Amino acid sequence: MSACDRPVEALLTAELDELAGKADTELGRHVRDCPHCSAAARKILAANAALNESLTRGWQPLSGPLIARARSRKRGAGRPSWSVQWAVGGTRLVWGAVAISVLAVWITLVAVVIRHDRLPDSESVTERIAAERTAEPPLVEAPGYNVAVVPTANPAITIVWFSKENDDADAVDAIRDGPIAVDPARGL
Amino acid sequence: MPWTRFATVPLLLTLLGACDLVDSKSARLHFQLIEANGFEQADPRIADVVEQLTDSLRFEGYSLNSEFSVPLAALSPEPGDEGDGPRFVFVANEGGVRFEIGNLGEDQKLHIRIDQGPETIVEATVGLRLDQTLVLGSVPRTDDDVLLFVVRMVEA
Repeated sequence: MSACDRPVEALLTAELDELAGKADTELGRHVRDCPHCSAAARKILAANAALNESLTRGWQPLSGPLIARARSRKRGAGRPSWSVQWAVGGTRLVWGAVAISVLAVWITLVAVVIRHDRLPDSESVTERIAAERTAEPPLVEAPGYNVAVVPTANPAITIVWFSKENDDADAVDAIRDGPIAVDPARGL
Repeated sequence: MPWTRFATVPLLLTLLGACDLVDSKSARLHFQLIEANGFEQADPRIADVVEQLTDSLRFEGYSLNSEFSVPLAALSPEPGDEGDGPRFVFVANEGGVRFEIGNLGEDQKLHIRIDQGPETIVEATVGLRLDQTLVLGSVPRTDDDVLLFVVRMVEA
């Protein structure tokens, strides 16, 4: 095989059909006629085919083993371990909070029920306050009079008897147990 | 403690109930003029008072001469009034008895003046509370029958 003085760089940028000698171009015709360039073109095509094959193999997804692995896996087995631990721990925390809340409500209800008889209801307390207030002696101010405040068996009714110094003693004795003299300056 | 929260409601109701005791807006003053001596038939309108009078006073029988009532709010001074507020005057049916009632303000003190003819029988300031009854009596200033004056504060 005689040497060819044509630069080899032209083959590196040639189309594949030119390298195969199939193109009807000047380079294609030369590759068909020149044994030296034809041999170089075949090496370039072989290297290109090998590169093409390697790239195609590297980009092909290996879906088969992944699908088979996924189908054979048990439910939940693919979760990260930390996720499982967190989920279990969170459930425990939730149930713990629920239990504490229920216990607190139960204790509160029991306390209220037990102490119910000790807590005064509004009606009875109101009546008691009313009775106490009604039983208090009334305020009476009567300058110039002697004032006798006579409580009765009914705490809501009070007799107030007014008299003066010069009143008839027999008339003043209208009160059965005698009048209660009160200093008019002080009142009651 | 948690149960104290449950006690808050009755406590508030109690306080509201206590406040209601001194709510003068819905109260009325009811006045009764009672004659003493010489009456045998019981008058149901004054039965509760007569029951207590019988135990305490030496009179024989009581009779209702006349009665009237006024809302306590009508006696309250208007906002901005510098005086003691309005005064009511009531003249009884018989006996020449004249009532003059005035409210002295927020503390529910009543100024009561009772005249019989030219004579002032009673002039006093009394503090009255809801559901309380005062029986005002005095030595008769005239030769007429003995008169007793009942003042009640009741719910309107």
